[in-house]
Amino acid sequence: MEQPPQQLIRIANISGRYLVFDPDAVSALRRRANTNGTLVGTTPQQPTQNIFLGLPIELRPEEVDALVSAGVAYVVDDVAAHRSALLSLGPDERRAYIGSLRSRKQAAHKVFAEVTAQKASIAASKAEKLRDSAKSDGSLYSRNSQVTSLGVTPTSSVHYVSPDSHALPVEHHRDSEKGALCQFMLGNGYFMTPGLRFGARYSVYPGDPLRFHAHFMANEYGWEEEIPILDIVGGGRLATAVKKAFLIGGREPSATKPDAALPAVRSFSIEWAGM
Amino acid sequence: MDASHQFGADVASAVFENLQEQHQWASLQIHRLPGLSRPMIRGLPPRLLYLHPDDQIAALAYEKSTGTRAQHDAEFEWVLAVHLAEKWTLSSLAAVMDALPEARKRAKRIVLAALHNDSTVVYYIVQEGMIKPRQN
Repeated sequence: MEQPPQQLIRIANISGRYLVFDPDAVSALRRRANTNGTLVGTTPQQPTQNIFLGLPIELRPEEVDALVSAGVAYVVDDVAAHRSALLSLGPDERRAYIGSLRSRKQAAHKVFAEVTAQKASIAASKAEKLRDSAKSDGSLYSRNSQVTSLGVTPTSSVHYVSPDSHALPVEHHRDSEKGALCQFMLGNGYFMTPGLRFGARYSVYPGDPLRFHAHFMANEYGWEEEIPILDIVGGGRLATAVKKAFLIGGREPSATKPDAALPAVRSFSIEWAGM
Repeated sequence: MDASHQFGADVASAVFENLQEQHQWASLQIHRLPGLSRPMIRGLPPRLLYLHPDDQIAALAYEKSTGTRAQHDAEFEWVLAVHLAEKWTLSSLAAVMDALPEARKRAKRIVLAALHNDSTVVYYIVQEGMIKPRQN
C-alpha cells in the first residue's frame, strides 16, 4: 500500500511551550508518531474549568526534539510569525484575510443552520407523534425552526500566517544527554503520558493510552548520574503495586550503534521480587 | 584493603544469611566476578522466583487445556547485595549486567537485595531492557 507523502506537523513554540493547534495535526501525531500530548486548552470565558480540556495539545520539549529529529515535525516561533504577519499586512492581504474570515463564518453559519434544521425536523416528527396521541396542536414546536444560530467569530489565523514562516532550524536541540530515553521509546512505538501520578517522569504505554494500560513508570538518568537505592526501592514497589514495572534508563555514551536513527539507550526494568 | 571492598563483603554476607535463613535458598555461594568490585551471590530459591508474563500466559493456557498446573522448576538467581543508603548509577548497574553470563532464555536479570540498618532486606528483580510487567 503506497502512502501519500506525509505533511510535516507544525509545532508552535509560544513562550517556551510547544503547542499543536490543528486537529488534523494532532490526529496525525497520534496515528503516525505515537505522540498523544496533553490537552491544555480551556474556554476563554471559563478559564478555571479544567475537567474537559480541548485543543491545543502541549508537547514535552524532549518529545519535540524526538519528533523533529525523526523528521515528523518542525517547530515555529509562533509569536514572531504572528507579529511579522500582522505588521506586514497590506491592504490587499487585509482584504483577502477579511474575505477568508467572512467565508469561514458563512460556512459555519451554514453548518449550524443545517444542524438546527435537522434538530427541528426531529422535534417536529416527535411533535407529530405527540399530536397523534394527544391531539394537541403543533404551535409549540413551530418556533424551533426560527432558532438562529449563535454568531461565530472565527479566531483562527491560519489564512494569514503562512504555516512555515519563522520555522526554527532543526538543530535547536537542548542538552542531548537528557531526552534519549524519550526518543528511544517513541522510536520503538511506545506512547507516553505524564508520569506524575505514579511519581515518575513518564507513564509508558505499549500502544494508544485509550486502548492499553501503562506497562512502565519510567525515569531517565544520566549515565553517571547517582540513583539512590531508596528511589529504586520506592519506585519499584509503587510500580509493582499498580501492575507496572519501574523503568530506569539513559543514553550509554560509549555504545555505538550501526543504525544511528535511535540513540543507544540502556534501560533496566525493576519489579518487586515478592519475597 | 579499601573500606568499600570490606563494606561490599559485609553487606553481601548479611544478605547471604537472610537468603539462607529466612528465605530457604539452597546452594548459596558468593562469587567474585571478573571486572566487578562487588561480590555477587548465586543461589537456588525454593520455588521459581520470576516467570516472564508471556510464560505466565502460556502456563495459564496449558492449565486450561489440560487441567493440570504447568510445572516450573526453580532457577538459579544472581543476587546483588547493596545497602539502602548507597547510590548507584546506570553505568554501574550495566557493569554488573555485563559481568554476568548470558541468560538461558529471556533477558539477563539480577535480584537486587537492599539491606537496611535494622537488617531488613527487600528484594527486587532488575532486568536488562524494557521487560513488560508480570500479571498478578
